[in-house]
Amino acid sequence: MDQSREQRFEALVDVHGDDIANYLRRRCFPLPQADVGDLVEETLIIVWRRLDELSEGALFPWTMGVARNVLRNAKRSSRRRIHYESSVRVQGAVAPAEEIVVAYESIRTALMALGHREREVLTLHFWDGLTAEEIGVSLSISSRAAAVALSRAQQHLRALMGQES
Amino acid sequence: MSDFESQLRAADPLHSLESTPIDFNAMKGRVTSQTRGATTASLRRQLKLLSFATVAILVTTVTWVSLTSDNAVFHSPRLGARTTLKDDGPSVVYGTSAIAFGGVTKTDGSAFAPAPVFAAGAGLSAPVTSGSVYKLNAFNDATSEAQHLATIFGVTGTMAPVPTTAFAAEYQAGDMGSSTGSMQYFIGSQGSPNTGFGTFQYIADGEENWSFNGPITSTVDRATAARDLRAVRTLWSALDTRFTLATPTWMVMQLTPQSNALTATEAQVNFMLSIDGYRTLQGVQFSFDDTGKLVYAEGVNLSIIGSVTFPFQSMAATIDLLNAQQSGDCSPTFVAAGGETLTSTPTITPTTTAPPITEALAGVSILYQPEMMSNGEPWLVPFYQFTESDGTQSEAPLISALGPAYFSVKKSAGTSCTMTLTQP
Repeated sequence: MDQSREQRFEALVDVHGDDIANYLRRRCFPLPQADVGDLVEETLIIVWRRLDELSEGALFPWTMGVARNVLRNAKRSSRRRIHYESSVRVQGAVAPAEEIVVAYESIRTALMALGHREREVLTLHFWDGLTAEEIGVSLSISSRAAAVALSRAQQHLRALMGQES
Repeated sequence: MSDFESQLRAADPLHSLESTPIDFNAMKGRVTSQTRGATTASLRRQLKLLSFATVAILVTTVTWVSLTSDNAVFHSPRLGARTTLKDDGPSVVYGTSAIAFGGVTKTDGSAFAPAPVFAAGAGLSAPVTSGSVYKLNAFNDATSEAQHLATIFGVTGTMAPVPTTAFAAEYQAGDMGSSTGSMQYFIGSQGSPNTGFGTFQYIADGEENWSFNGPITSTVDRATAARDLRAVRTLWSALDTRFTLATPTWMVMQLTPQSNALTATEAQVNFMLSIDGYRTLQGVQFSFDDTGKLVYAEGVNLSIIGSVTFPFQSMAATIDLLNAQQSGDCSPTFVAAGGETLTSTPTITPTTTAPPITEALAGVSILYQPEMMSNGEPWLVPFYQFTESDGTQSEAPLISALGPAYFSVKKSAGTSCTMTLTQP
């Protein structure tokens, strides 16, 4: 086995394993928290397969992007299953955790009023600690677009909460 | 750190979530040693889902409660129409054959409300007996779509590299100081690997150099509205889509000009799209500065390339489906690993009895949503949406206007569900 490749992968897991798991934990709902480990592993499998395609600086945010897609696929599967098991009393779309668990009512109300993309960049920045550049890699957009989106989302949220910048 | 940032960070749900430590060392070993890990993890989750599915048949009321809770969350106020992709839209029920549990007395624990039984109110009838199902263009080349839209939006320059191998592209001028903005195009990864539903984002140059200082209002003066709507109509015409812009809602934001700011006021108009007079839950938005210059836009990019007329199912058949319980991963039948189809015959043993609540459905309308079929073809599919006698939206879910013979979702021999449209 390619030792350097394995070392690179292990370094990613050692440094960012908890970051990836926490990203998934925050947004896991309505999947059981017990599934987080499986989702992390699915994420890492994809990263392991494509490790050679990625530059060092992009590895972590790209991994977060992979986690995002893994989560979406899992939710999609879950939603379809729910539809066909319990057809009657449905349903809003399955809400991500940040829409469900947010502790502060004013923040929650304001976050809910944002668009999905705005909410996503805000939580990636303030909860997951990604920079605008990393958000860009994670969401497959340019750094500039990510910075604009983050700025807009932040100011929009601030305005919704009645706080001046 | 500002108070705003403190509040936002404090709202991190991780603070209130219990977590079980993950054995990363074992995980690293599984992942790096072989591909078995992929199968193991995926299979483990699938097995969990299937086992959960079996249990869910017997505790459907639990599911109802949880879904009702979701619904409540999504009824929170919003500031006007939002761009919605499929993942943001409401959940739906498709027309598969069903196991009839409707009207059965269900468990009535203190936390559980009995499931309603839906009935046709006086005068309820299907708006039409047939209608179009629209075939959408399966976008698979974000680069060419970005170039196409860049031309329409007046973005000049060169295609900038996007730091990903995903389905996204950006058309952006190289010189930020003199460019005309950027156009980004995204293709969602739903359906087959290389196709999906497209969304775009236009950002005028300098748009990042501003901030709000509130307030946001939902009214706009007549002259501004007329000016901005003319610009939208021009753009929309150039986009050459069969969709109509409907239900405009405005957000007018006071901005704090900074060193390179474009404007002091931004007027954003949001539209929901309609097709041949029917609603969709898809949207686009455009933002203009004080002078009427477009400074920001985003939305879905759905392109109709054909249509087929389908019969719509009757109200009676639709209500039967609404009242039916369905089981299994996708359909009432479980497909065994060997391909053998096992018909499930679940039973419900009520612990206490409670009379079912009957909800009369007084009105129905049709709306369309994009769905990606399993063969990779995206279609715009009609759904029924019900209202109660007072005009409020019914708790009945969206349900396909096409009968199970034409539109179905089933469990395939593998682990995934298949969504199929069968033309009449």
